[in-house]
Amino acid sequence: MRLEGDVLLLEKELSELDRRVLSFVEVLERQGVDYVIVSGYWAILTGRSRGTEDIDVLIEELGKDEALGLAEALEEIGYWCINAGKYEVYGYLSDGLAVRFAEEGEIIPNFEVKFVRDSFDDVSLQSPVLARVKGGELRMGPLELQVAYKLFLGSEKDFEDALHLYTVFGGNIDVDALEMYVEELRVEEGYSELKGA
Amino acid sequence: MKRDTVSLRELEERKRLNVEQRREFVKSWAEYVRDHPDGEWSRQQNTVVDSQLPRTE
Repeated sequence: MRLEGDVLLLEKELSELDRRVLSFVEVLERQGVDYVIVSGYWAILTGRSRGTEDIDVLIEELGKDEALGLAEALEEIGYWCINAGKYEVYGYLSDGLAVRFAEEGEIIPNFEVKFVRDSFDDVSLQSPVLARVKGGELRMGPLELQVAYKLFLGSEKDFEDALHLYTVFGGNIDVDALEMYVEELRVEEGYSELKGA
Repeated sequence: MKRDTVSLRELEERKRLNVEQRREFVKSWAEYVRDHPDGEWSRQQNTVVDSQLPRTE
């Protein structure tokens, strides 16, 4: 795996989870929806040995019809929305809530989709890392923000995700950017632990 | 045979050690991922990642 600027080149064998992620984002792209994948899947895509219940996806704000169009396009490829009817998707998203899509008959893994809400989300959407894998391309949130945000979340699992990313990409991490996010999220203590781990 | 009751302090110490050992493992696996070809680590990783998913034939 190589990180060259904003492009991550991966020659991994795709997991079933990776394939599902690729087919999900294919629908987003077909619908013209700007998206970025953030949080735990970053670590999983790049080798972390754990499963997951959900993949976090931030999308640009959509209008009511676009949100319905997205729900219907996902329905067409065999997805259902676990926590809302397709006509309610827009309401949930515009209220700042997440909607979760899973393959029909399943609950996990699911795609937890939210509208961008804050300046960190905006940065994620505007400055993605493009992960190139066999069979497609994924828009991933900025690496340094993922590391800091994982420290912010604060569970042991999140610390381990941060440790995985920090170790795998050590030499490629933009330390200034990471330390800026660490300061903004006030996770200096976790960052010291991470450096010492 | 009845075992001795463990103190909370001992339990806390075991928890601390457990966290420390897990972190050591996570770090050593990440180093393996960093230093080996993608095909090599992903074959092993997929067993874990896909274990919760139904098999597609």
